[in-house]
Order: sequence, then C-alpha cells, then structure tokens
Amino acid sequence: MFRKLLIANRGEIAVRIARACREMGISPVAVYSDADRASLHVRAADQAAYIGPSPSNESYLVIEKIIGAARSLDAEAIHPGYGFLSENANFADAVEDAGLVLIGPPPSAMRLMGSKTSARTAAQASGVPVVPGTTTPLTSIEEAESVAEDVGYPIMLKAASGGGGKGLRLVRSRRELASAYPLAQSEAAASFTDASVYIEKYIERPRHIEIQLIGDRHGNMVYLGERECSLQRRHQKVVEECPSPVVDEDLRRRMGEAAVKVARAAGYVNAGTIEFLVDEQRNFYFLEMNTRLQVEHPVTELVTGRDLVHEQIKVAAGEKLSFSQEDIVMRGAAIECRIYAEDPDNGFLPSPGRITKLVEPAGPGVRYDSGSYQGWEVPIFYDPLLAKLCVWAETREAAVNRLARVLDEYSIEGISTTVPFFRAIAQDADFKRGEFDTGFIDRFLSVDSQAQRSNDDVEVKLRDLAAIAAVVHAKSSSVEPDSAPARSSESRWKLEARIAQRR
Amino acid sequence: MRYEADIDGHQINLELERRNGRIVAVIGQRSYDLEVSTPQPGVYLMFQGDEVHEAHVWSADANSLRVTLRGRLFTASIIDRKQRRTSEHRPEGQQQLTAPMPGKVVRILLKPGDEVAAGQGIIVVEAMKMQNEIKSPKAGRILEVRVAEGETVNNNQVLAVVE
Repeated sequence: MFRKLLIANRGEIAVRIARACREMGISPVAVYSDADRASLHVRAADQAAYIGPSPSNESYLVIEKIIGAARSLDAEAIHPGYGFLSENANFADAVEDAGLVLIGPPPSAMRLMGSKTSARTAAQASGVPVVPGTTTPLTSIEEAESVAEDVGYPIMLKAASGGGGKGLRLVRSRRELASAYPLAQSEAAASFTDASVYIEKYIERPRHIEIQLIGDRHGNMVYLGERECSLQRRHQKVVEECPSPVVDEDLRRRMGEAAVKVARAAGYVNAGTIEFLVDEQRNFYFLEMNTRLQVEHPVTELVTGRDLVHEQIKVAAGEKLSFSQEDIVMRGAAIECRIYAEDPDNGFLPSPGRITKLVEPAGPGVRYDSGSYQGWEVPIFYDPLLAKLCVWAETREAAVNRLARVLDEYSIEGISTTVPFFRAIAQDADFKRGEFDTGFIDRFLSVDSQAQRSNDDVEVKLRDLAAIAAVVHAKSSSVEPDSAPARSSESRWKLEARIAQRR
Repeated sequence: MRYEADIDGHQINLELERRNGRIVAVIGQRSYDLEVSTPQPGVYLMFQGDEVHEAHVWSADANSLRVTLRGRLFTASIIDRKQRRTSEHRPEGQQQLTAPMPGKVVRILLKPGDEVAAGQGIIVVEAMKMQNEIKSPKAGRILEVRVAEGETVNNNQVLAVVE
C-alpha cells in the first residue's frame, strides 16, 4: 500500500480523500493556490505544496506543477478527485511517465470514453442501446422520413453544428416533418451557417439515472446500483439519490450489466459511472461515461455500505476488489443536496464571501462532506460547491422527512446558499412522491409555482416573523453596530434593560 | 412604531410595540404577541404562546438584511421614511452600476461616451466560473467606467455611471 498520496484537488472532495487516506494509514498531502492557503483541505493534510496563483489555469490545472509537487513531497500516488485534471488523459500519461500511480482508469480507457462520439460507438458495439437516430447529416426529406419511421415519433431535428438549444425542432408526426424539415434547415443555416440537420429520437420526460461501477486489474468489475440524478438546473445536478424511485431489481440488474459490458469493452479499471437516459416506459439509453469519482458518490456509499475511495486506492495499488457482485446489497435510501454558494432568490448568482456563522447539520442519518468552515472566505475563483449534505433512512419517505429536518437545523450566514431552495424542494408534493424528470427544477422555479408557495398560510406567517426579527435587529444594531465586541452570552435581562432604555 | 418593510418583494406595513418586555406586532390583518430574547448575537428566539421560532439575522449589505427562519432565507429591507423622501428627490439622470457580487471584471463592453440601451450589457463580471453581464438600468450614455479588465471588485462596488 502507498505510504503517501497527493490529492490534486481542493474543497470538499480533497477533504473527503484526505479522510480516506487517514483511515487507511496513508499520509495525505495537499496542493494549494494563493486563495487556498488556509482552506480546509490544506488543514486536513500532513504536508502541502504551493502551486501558484489563484486562477485554476495557473495552479490546479497545470500538469507540471502537480507532478512537481508529488515529486518534491515524495508522494507515490495521486488522486485527482473530480473536475480539474481528473478526466485529462494527458495528465494520466504524465503521472505514469513520472513513475507515479494515478488513482483512476488507464489513459487509454479515459481517451476512449472521454469523447462522446467514440463512447457512443463503443456502447453500440457492446450491444448497449443509445438514443436512436443518425449522427451524420440528412441528405433529403425522403431520408429524413425513413429515419423518423425507423426510430419512431416523436423525434428531434437537430442542427449538426448546433448548441445551446438553438436549431432544435420537435416533430410529432410525418405530416409535421414535411414542413419542419426545411424550416430546421433554414434555421440552422441562419444560426450556424451550416444547414445540415440530423434526427434523434425525442425522449419525453426523461430521467437521468447512472450506474456506479468499479473494477480492479484482475478482471473483476462490479456495479453498485444506480443513482437518480434527474434534478438538474442548467444541466448541473443539484439533488441526487440512491436508489432511484423508478428502478426495481430487474431494471437495476439490466442497467448494471449493460454498464459493466461497456466498461469492460473500454478496458476500464477503477471507479467510473455510466450515465443513462430512462424514458417513461423505463427503456434506458447510454448517454456517456464519467471516468472518475463522481460528486454524488456518497449516496451510493450510504446505501451499499461500501467506501468507494478506499476501494479506489486499493485497486490502484494492485489489490483485488474486496467484494463481488453478490456481496452488493442495497439497504434504505439516501439523498444528497449540493450546497452551492449561490443566491436562489437572485437568479442563482454566485455568492462568494466570508462565512460569518455556520451551524453544521448533525443528528441521526446525516453525512456532511464539506470544504468550508466558519470564518473562511469563499474564494471567487472556483466552483461554488461548498458542501454536500446527505441523509440516509430506512425508506425514501423517511429520508425526505429527515432531509427537511436537517435543512431546518443547518444555517450558513454571511453568504447566500442553496439551502433554502432545498428546503422548498423537500416540501414539494411531487418530489415527496418521487415523481419527477429532468424538467422538474425548471417547472419548480417557474413564477406560478413560486407565487403559489409564497401565499401558503404557513409561509405568510414565517415571512411576518422574519420581518419582525429584521426590524428588531435593525433597531438594536443601530444602537450597537455589528462591529461592537461580541455579546456572546447576552442574557435576557440585558436585552430587556436595553429595550427599557430606548422606550 | 410603524415601519415599512420589503420582505422578499412583499411590501408590508408593520406596527411594532414593546409591552412589558413583549413585542406586539401588527401586519395587515394579522397580529403577533411575542416574547423575544437574544441567546446569541444576531439570533432572535421568539415565543408565540408555546410556539418557538428562531430567527438568525445578519446584514447582507448597507441596505438589506438576511433572515433565516426554519430553513427559509428571507431578504428584508426596512424603509426609513425620511430616507425615502430624500431618495425620491434624487435626480433620475445619473445612475450607478454596481457589482451584484464580488468577482473579477473579465470584459468591458462599452466605453465612456457610448450610447447604451436599457438592459444592454456594459461590463462582464466573473465569479466561481460563472460570467454575469451587468446591464444598464436605463437608456442613455456611458458617463464613466470605474474599473479595468482583470480587476477584482467587491459586492456593491460602483463599476460605471450611466446618464
């Protein structure tokens, strides 16, 4: 086993990996930029190397600096976490060339699965379904009609050079196609100066469900159930859970086996995730593979009782997986909320700054993975993920109730966070029933549904009480400003006396 | 005392009276009789009968407060009548463009003297890998740009002036 491991990341994931290292008797070493000198991931390490200015393209993304830090601190292995260099095959090459071990897949598998088109081809070759359609431009309306018949309506006409939702057209029948095809072509030509369009089957109200897997260098590969990741905002996951409310034993086995087949075909080793789209009839389609540890891995750990980071480090050191497929038992339900430094009342605008007060969630069934602490200044340079709040309970219903309880106790001051947004989601009837798809958050944030929520009797009362507290606070702090020495153990009689003075 | 407040976009009139260490508040048709204590600075423990409500209050910026209560976050500003009268008299001509968050100026789209339409982007500020276009509050002309590309700015810092 390794003696010393360098963590090429920051924030909550670097802290999480450092914890795994300590549990395994490995010395964790950190890297840090100017902005992160006093960050939690540095405090969690035995040694730390300075790697440059705050912008990540001058520090965390510079391959030579990471390799140099590992060399100078005499680390034997590097864990890249997620983001930054974690899916960079050139980095994986550089780690190998330096005689170090990367906690991740071989560069060849990273390259093959990293490109969407080659990954799609690899999935098809292993007999795993992909979203049906063409990937080459259509040449005529006749061809369009015949492809549409093959994949079945409804279909999407997509501009080959398109992006950002432009050049997309939903077509529900052959009759619509006759008029939509030339329109889509001229739209594509106008927006992208390229008139070519292709067809993809339209998946209505899809769910985004992914399979966690891990393999060793001895040919063993195991899937650890699924994660439901349909709750997304601007294609960014916000809430994940395990298991998915719509996946049963049979579907789990079929998706799991399909995922293992694709990963084996790619020569995959270590932890990885295969993402699928699942339609309303519960057909699943390969989307892409993530060749790294995922942000949302804790929900899988809570339900399967397996530590993925421990296992990643063990298989990277050449050990066999410590469990087989038959050993994987799913128990209970886990939900994760990504706590972002964003202002949900202000279009989710970033909200960096000092955390003046932090009451961390606690109590039964709570797992809190954080990279922040009270008094810390959240830097402007990086991803806004502050922490991941996970709950576990025997059933999904109990987990949702637990989540609501924990969010009530959790408090972050000084900056805005997505905590209140999750509190509202935990109260939502459709969420409670597990009935949602990838469009849920957009509908949830629509003006109508927000107005409906804010006129609820309970909400009106809480708003009133908040207004009262604000007025009381404004009145007392105008006499004694916030910069006055902390009155931490202020007793009621003192307050009463102050009030009396002012009367 | 009477107060006008804006809480999450709802304008309310609040009448607040302190009686024997209790706070009696009337908001529209609703009234609250509360016993309020401060176990920690910025924390307000409110008893309404046997109901317990704990509010945490802090200043978000010079004009607004943030309140958390049962996991919900509220933004409140208390409107001072005197201040409002003076602000009503402030000339509408010049408007300052302020940073809605701390960040780095990545692009300046218009320069002093340029014509600007209402809602047109003037400056792009980046924070946490997200770029935000700071838009003009009105149609007019750029009078001043007070920041340079690459500069780090604080929350509410004046970036430009439009007239």
